Amino acid sequence: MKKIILTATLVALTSTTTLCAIETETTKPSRSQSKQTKIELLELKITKYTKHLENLPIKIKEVLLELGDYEEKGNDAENMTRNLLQTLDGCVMNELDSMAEDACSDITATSVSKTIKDYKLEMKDMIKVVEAKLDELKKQKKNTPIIEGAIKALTDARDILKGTK
Amino acid sequence: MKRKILMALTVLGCLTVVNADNNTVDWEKEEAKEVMLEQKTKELRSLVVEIDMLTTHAIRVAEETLLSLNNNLEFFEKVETSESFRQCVVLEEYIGSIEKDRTIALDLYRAKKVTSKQYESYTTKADERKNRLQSKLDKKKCK
Repeated sequence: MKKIILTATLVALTSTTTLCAIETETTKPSRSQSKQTKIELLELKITKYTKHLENLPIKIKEVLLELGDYEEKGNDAENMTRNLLQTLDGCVMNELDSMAEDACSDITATSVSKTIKDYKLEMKDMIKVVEAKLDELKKQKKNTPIIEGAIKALTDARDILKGTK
Repeated sequence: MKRKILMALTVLGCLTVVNADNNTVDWEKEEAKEVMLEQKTKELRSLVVEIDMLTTHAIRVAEETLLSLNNNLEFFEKVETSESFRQCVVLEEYIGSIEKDRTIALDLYRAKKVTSKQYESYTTKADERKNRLQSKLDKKKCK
């Protein structure tokens, strides 16, 4: 009987020691807990950056499409005006049949001048918009090293955490 | 007594195992999170690279568009300020205003607000002026 009690006490002592050791391991880490909190913080930051940036490529692609439209509009306006001026010349230079006479009656230097004035205003408006977009893009470009720096800091923090395993 | 001791020992042993298991689960979770973080960071980095490339490209396109629009504007300004074109416009405007005045004069005559003599004298002068301007316009080959 005494032997049994002695063995039981020994086993109990060993187990308690093991338990204590494991408990210390789990509480030493409030360190582990703080590591988890740090990991969560990192995750939050990465999610925040990603959310902030993930729509940018779509927005830039939209800007590219708009820019294409502006360039096309400008060139169309110039080509159309060149055609009008050529027609105007044609109306002066040639002996015209009645149909050409009729077509020419719609085109005058005054009407072409009005068209040119309208186009000029349109060009100026588009130039303002494109300048604003260019400024925005340049600012965006300046932001890149800052964002890269922030990501690098996050990566370093993650590596340090990894090392504390 | 022997049984009681054995039961106590079993409970103690189980507690130890459960605790150790919990600890392993915590490590596994942590590792999984680290892997996920690594993946997310990689994705974020490639997103930034993509944005940077797109931005560079967009800046170049915007600069080209700006240049093209400025060229268009320059073309319009050249045409508008070219002396011959400007003179054509002015002549056409004069002729147009004479035609308008002539219509007004006819309305006044019809409404008997002016005499036929006054109307004829006005239209004769107006026509002479119009013909003079028209011949100038023709010489300029505006139309």
